[in-house]
Amino acid sequence: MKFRLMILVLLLCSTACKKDFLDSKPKGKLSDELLNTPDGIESLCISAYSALAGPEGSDGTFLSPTTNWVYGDVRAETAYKGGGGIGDIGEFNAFETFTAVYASNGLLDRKWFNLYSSVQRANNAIRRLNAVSVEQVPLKNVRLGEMRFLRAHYFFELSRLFNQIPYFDENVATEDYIKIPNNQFTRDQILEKIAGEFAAAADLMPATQPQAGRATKYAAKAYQAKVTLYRAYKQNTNNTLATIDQVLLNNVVTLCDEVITNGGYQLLADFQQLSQAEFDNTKESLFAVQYSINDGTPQGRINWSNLLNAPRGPAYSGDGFFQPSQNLVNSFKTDANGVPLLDSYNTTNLMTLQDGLNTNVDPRLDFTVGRPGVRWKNYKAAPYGLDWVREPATYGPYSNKKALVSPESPFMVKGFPWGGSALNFNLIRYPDVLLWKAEALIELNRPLEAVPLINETRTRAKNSKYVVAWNSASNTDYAAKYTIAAYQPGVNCTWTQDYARKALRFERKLEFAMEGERFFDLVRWGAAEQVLNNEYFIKEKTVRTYLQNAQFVKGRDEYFPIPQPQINFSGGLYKQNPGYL
Amino acid sequence: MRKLVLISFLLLFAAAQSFAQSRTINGTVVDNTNQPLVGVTVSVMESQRSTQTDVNGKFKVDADNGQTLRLTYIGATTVNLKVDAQTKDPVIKMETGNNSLNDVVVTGYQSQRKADITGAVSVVNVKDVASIPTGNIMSTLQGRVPGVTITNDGTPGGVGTATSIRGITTINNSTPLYVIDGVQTRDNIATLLNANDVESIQVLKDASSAAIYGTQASNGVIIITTKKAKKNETRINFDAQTTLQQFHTGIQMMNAQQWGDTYWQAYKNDGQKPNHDLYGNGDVPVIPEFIDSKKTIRSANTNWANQVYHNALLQNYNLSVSKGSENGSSTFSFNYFDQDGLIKNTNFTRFNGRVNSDYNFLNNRIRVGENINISKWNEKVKPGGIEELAIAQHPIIPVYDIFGGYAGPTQGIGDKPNPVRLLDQQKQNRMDQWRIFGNTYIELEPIKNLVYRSAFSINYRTGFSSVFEPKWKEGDRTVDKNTLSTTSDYDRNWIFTNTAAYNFTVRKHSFNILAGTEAKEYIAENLTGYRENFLIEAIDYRYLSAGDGKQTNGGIASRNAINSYFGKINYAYNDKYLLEGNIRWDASSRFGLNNNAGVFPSVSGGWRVSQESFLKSISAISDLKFRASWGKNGNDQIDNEATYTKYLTNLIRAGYDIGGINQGTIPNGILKDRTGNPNVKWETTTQTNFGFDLSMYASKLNFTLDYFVKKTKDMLIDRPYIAIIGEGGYTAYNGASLSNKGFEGVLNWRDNIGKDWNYSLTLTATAYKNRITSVPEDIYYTFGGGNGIDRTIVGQPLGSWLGYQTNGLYTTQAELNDGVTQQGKGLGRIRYVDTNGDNVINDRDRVWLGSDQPKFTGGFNVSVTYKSFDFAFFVNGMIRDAYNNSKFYTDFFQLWTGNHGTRLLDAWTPSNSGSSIPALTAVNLNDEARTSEYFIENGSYLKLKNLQIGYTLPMAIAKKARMKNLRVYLQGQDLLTITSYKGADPEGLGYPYPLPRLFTFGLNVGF
Repeated sequence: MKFRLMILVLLLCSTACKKDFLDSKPKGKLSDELLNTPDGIESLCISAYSALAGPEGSDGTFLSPTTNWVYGDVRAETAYKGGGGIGDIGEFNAFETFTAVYASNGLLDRKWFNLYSSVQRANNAIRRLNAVSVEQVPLKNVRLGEMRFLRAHYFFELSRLFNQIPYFDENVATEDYIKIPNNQFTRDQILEKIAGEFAAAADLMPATQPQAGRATKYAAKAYQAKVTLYRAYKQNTNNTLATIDQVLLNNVVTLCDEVITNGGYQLLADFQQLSQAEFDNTKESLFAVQYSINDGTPQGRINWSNLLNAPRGPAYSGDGFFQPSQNLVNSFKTDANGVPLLDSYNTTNLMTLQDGLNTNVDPRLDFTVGRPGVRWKNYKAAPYGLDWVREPATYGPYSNKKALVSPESPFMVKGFPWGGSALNFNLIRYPDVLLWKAEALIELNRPLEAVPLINETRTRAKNSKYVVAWNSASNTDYAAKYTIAAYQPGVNCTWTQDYARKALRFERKLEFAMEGERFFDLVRWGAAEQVLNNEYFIKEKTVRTYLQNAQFVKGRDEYFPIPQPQINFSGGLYKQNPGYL
Repeated sequence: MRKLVLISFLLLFAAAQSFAQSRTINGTVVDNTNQPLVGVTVSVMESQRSTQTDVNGKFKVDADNGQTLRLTYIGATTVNLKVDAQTKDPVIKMETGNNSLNDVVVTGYQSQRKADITGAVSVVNVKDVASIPTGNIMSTLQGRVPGVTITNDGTPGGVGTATSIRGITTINNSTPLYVIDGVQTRDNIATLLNANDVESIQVLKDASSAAIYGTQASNGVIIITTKKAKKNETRINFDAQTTLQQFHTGIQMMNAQQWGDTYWQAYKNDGQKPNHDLYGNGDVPVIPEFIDSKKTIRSANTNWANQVYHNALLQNYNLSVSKGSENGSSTFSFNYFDQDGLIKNTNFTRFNGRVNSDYNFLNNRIRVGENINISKWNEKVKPGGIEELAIAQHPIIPVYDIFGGYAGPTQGIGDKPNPVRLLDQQKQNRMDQWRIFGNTYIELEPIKNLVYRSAFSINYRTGFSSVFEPKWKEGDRTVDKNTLSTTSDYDRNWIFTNTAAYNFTVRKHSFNILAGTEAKEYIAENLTGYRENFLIEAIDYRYLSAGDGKQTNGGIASRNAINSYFGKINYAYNDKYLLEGNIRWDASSRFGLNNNAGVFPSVSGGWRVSQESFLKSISAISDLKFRASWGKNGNDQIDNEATYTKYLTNLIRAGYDIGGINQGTIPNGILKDRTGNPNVKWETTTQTNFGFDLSMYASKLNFTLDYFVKKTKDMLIDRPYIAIIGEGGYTAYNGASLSNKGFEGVLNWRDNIGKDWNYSLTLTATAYKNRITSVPEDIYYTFGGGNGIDRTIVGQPLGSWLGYQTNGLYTTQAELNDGVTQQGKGLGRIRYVDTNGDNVINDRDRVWLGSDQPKFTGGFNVSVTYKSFDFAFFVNGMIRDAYNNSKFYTDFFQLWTGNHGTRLLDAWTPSNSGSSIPALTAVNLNDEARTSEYFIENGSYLKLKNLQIGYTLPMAIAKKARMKNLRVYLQGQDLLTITSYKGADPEGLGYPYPLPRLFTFGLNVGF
């Protein structure tokens, strides 16, 4: 009996197994310690760069695009949301019309989260770089410069989207994040800090880097100039323009001069080369988001921000978002001398192919905008037509042309993602530097010095190879009556400070059209309400019915609301932006 | 734990001492059909000595000649047997009558008489559903088991069937634990069980009956036992079924002309001149000859539902052979199940083979056996979202262009793909899987009634899938790249269970003790491959090596393990007072080593009032039992690696072309994936249950009613966190709590009229209320759909809708002057309610609008037999609200440029002022897609779920044909629905795979 019992007890306990039976380590994942090696740190730096293209990768990036097409152009007078009707991503329609933009808008929370994720990727690398010696990681200081550059860039994006933001560095313990308010620093203080970070980064980085995607000394100085220019336009707490700081404007001029003199940058010969991946990272580009295809990822590390932004068939089969506005198309009209119609550009609509042949237009029109009847890059089967548009009845006949490579390009993905390519997205290109300096000079009341700077971009446009007509009889049988000239004070214009300011702002609109900057420019200049309500919506709604109720509210819509979930997480520490509930 | 084991053996020892006097009677008790009766109380009247029969109906008791054995069994006539010199190994027959109380119910690791059960256990009447064609036995039980919610869709094989017990117990995986012949699993039982093999199903609903499964038991436990050979019987059964399936849940959509007319009206209503990219800009819409500029796509009038759905066939064949003897038995069964889906090109084909056998040696002191199921199944799955696409696609688009290629959308009619192309593309994809599922065991019975059992179970699945995306062209959308993705994977799961059970009776006290240990490991791993560019697309070339383009691969693995000890004690006094206690100790690898164990206790009691003398005299009451139970269960369905902080390399999200090379290898980056929490622990569910079982009029009437309160706390949720922490901040923690309270009951009446008519009526009903009871402070207003400001899910059912109340439409100018600022308001537009009284409609006006959780579910089954004919029908239904998201298509022209429902033809106009459908408009100024009451409908329904009629060949004739039985039958499923719900099917909200209407012809033959 006892013997039997013993056997039973033994059998019952037989499942008391080896010690590690209940210790299941993660499979295929990395632990924290592994990351403090030189290889680990390098990969964290890559990850911080990668966030430029969107930390969400292939899937969700288009919902919080890093190319700012929604925030910078759809909110401005230059572009519509496009796509399959106003309900197709209704959150973006809300941004476009400034109606029903609530703090509970999920896509704003997403944008906020992604930008802070990007900041933290840089911080993670910085913390570990701080902890190693130059012997262990020879490029320690260069990498530190790069990471501070990236972090400053992400904070700058946050600043111009949300204004009141929590600002911090890499030395915050996780449990302390909850204690950081969003009104600790004013806009001015944050921009000052960001500019300071770029200055520090410039000191740490060399003038050129062996890898084209990395930030450089002059990219940092140029970015410092940009941030300083934003800072020069001081804002009141209700977002209105207060004063323009002359000292800061002078800093902008100095910084731009350094870049112009020592950076070695030039404009590309032909404006169209900006849409060719072959010209990525060449002399015009100071800093760009790098995209790639056939790179080991299933669909390419392409510009997922623009996922929806290719026209539909035949060339791309895309989803037709992000369409140029009639206002933008009209802006390309020039007078007989080739100078923009700064005041009267929008009195008539340039709509048809014939209109373009009857009116003088800037050649950049057909580099930037897909227009019915006009040749599309090297596409041979047909000209761009109305059937390239998803819903012309709602969003008109135009498509974004600039951000797309020609359909036969070896740098374009075949099939989905439609029109996806390795074409970089420039965060700073050389004309930026020229026009920032010009803007500073004009506001410093030195308008004449701005003339050659503005003319540099116009001359490049003039010297570009124009788009020829679909059934062209010759190389000079163009698709429109391209007429463009440099500003010649006293000859084709009267160059006062006021005129110069208008010319500069117009030049930015044309040169950087559809590049995600316009709305931020308008807000910086304190011009958003005037331009959007009094010039844009009032006219545009006659051709685009859905804009009927669109209305920019001054003192509110300059910035997005602070996402409500973040206010909640902060336990009420975050303050909402003015004008929002 | 070991102490408990020792105690149980001490008890056993003491009991063993009391044997070995006078002479031993070895008897067997059988029922009317000569099947052994388990749990018959055998007492020696003179000595008060008593015992119970074992699983083989055998008992052993010491008695002297002249003494009397009294055999009592619930519902059976008591038998008194005088022991005399001739009494040796008596075989005693007891007339048990028509009574389910004696049914042996398999509960955790053991079986019990139903009469002795103190928890809430439902025994499923498998006979009622035996001839319903299905790949998943659970799908047939909808509405038939109180407290069990089963949701079905039409996915072939019943793969889409989901089961939950007593409400939604957790926001995490709420699948109950299945225990099939003792093997625990949460896998989809459509892939491991042939419905024909099922002998019985028991559902353990309350904490006390499920507690023996500890951390896995929160969601309830479903115990399934498969058929085994009966003693001394050889049997061959053959079943065949052929079923026609019909699509019957369509929504009326517009044709091409109606669409154009509606468009015209919408623009006119907006004061705009109608102008459409296809229909022209005239006074009336004109359907063009072609819808593309190249004139290759002729305009059409396509009913896309007809292109997507078709009538489909289901075939099911089953053959089983079983042979039982005194010393063992064996059963083999083979099943072939082949179901085409309503959605074209979808299919589920499964082959099952099951073998079980058991043998006993040494006078039944050693028993060995196994029960193994091998299944192989192939699935052809539908393209994702095809059901919605069938509604959304524009009717003017033809299926094919003039060259026979696929047509596609052009302008102003949406951009959805051609459903027929998607279906064709899916057709040749492969998804083949194999599974071996079952166990082997040895049982030792060294002394009478002490059973030691050791079982080793496996659940091994291996699968291969191959998905090919050919090149395609559709309208002017072209993809000239083809790709192949393949996945090879396996799950390996083993369980090693050891238990010792002992039961003994001391006078009127009977005890049943069980102790056991269990270890369990689950490992899964996969390998994926991807390649582009296949020169030839033929099926035989769809292998990775045949491609010549870009290729990538991948692989992941997961593992978890549990180690457990458990014990159980049942005590009964005089068949009158019942008490049960359970305890289980579990340690799991999912939790940190310092915090990985939990203890789950339960107690329950029963009082069989009908055994009391004051009720014994009331002959109408055959049985009355009150039950109460309390216990704790756990839920471990969370991430295997929740305790670890994880980083990962991820080329898609963190790789970057730092070199600016545009094409080629880019360096990889590292990102933070999750933050570990070493302190996470189990979710626990505490449940209290009160119930009673009443049986009257010689068990013609049976009534069971239960009330339960089930509280889940420490639900494992991913803690949302302040965004400035950045990615990878998610950490699992024990946060929210919820409760479910409810009633469930089953009422059954069966009788006969004369000798030819038998009938049975069964009514089941379930009503419960689910409520979130607490949420951590930092996510109080955001968790579960809160508005983030001042509306919390706490106090609401899980899955509640937060949205705008509506008050019909604005129909008069006077109403428009109500002083409320609602952007976009106008005649015929939805009138939203200003709930906060600030005269502005904005997101602060959103309030809780309810949920689609059922308020009441029920079923009513009637079965009648007359001579050789049998007839049955089953009706089930539900009371609930429904969010009809198809209104997006059927009621709002402005939200979508594809197709719309014909409901829009009745939209509000000043002359059609009785309509509740908002006026046609092309612009969504009033933002009518917002979540609002407008979409909420009464989603209650009543369905004639099943109707069948059968004929069984009379025994006499069958015997002549050397058959044991022959039955043929016809039946229909989902025949009729009564509802006011406007969407496709109130049973499946949203766009699920539609449920077919089935017509079946079937045949069973036994030899």
